[in-house]
Amino acid sequence: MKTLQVLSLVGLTTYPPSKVNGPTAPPCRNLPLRNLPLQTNDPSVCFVFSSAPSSASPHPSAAPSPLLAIRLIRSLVATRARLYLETRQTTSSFLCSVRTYRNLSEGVFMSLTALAVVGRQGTPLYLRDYANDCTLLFDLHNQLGEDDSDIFGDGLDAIEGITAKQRDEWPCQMKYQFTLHSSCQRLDDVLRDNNWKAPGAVGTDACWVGLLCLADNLRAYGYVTTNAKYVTLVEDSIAPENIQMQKKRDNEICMLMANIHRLYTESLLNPFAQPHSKITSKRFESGVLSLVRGFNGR
Amino acid sequence: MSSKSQAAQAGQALWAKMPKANAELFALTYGSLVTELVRDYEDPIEVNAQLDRIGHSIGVRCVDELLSKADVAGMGLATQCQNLRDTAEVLAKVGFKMFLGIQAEVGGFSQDQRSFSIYLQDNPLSTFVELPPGDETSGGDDLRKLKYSNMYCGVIRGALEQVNLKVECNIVRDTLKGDELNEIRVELKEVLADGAGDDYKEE
Repeated sequence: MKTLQVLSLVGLTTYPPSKVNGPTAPPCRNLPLRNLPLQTNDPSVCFVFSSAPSSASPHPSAAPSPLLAIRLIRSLVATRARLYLETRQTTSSFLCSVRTYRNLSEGVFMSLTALAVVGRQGTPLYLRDYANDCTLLFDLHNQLGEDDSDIFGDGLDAIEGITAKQRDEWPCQMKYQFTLHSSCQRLDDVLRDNNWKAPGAVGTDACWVGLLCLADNLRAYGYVTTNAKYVTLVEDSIAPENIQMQKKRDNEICMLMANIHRLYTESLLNPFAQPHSKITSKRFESGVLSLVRGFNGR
Repeated sequence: MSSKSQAAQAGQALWAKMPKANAELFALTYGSLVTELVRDYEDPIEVNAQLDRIGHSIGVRCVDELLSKADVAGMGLATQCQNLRDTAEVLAKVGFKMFLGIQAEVGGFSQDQRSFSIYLQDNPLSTFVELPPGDETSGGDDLRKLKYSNMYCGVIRGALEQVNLKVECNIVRDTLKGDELNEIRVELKEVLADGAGDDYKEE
């Protein structure tokens, strides 16, 4: 917070989002940070930060960095609101809209959106998304419409058939499959470095890789065991400064992965299961579903 | 009835004295046996018959062990089974308890007292087992016809044959197929006569 007081927050204005792109923006008002309208009845509140240095600024070169500003807003508002952050950076200003929702609870939401179980050699064993079982804060992908065969929006027709086939084979939406696969790639990179775990760690600590990468609003976490690698995509609304909650969240995800691993080993004990093939056990599926529902619905 | 509780107590006592094995190892061994048979014979009816045959040879040996240990538990020759009901009790309460450590119930006696059912709540052979769903290549419902625990039927058949009771057993309800408990139906076909057969008849 101290650094932001040195930098100058040049312009701060609030207006409804429909007028965001209008050429005639209302005049900027300088609001002291203390008076940010946190308890607003408007469904949407927009903050515009202009990073162009003004004459009133004591340090022309020290324009507020957009990331710092986002973090500021998140930490100020996160405890009491759900955030929808959308940033678009133009040459001189960036735009950040914050929506505050009416029905607020304690403000910590975690949802596990997708899970991938991958064999040690990289063969996918289980891909599943749980978008129906969690309440997503940022459903960014729905902006592209219902049809998820064209996630990149470049309109290539050839993809249609391939994505349909892939969708049939794995019960996971294409957008999550894409993120899961790229997180698995990142997991392979992390494992190849071979210095991701503290020396002397045993048990679940030795398996827990942690945060792999960020993808839009989702965070990918990895968990590695001798016969399988697990990647999950989790979305949460914990502020970056809230270290305690972060640790708690990490522990919970680690426990969840350990339970999923236990279910996987039990499914392997079925004499009719092929060792390195797709997981088809109903018991595994229903077990994981109930674990995920328990994790999400808190 | 006194014979019931006596049988149950004898079963408890004998189970305590028997050497134990790891339940997971047991289940996995049986599972690999069944899958190996499925791979060899491919026809589930044939696999059922093979499991029955294997169970038969096990049962023949088990009954000797039960009878020899029964003296120790106070169920020796003095308390012979008078009718099929007693036999059923001994089979379920002493036999199943002693060898597998599970509680088995008897019931479903028919009108003519020649058949009964054994109910098993949990089956140690089928821990972790899930029958695979129907395969397209083998023409649907393939392993649905497999009676996974058919070895029990063979064991009962073999054991009772050694005590001159010829029975037929089959599994009517199976938890692997979705029922809530396992039920084995035992039907008495005939009581064999004692003796070594015609060839050995004395002149």
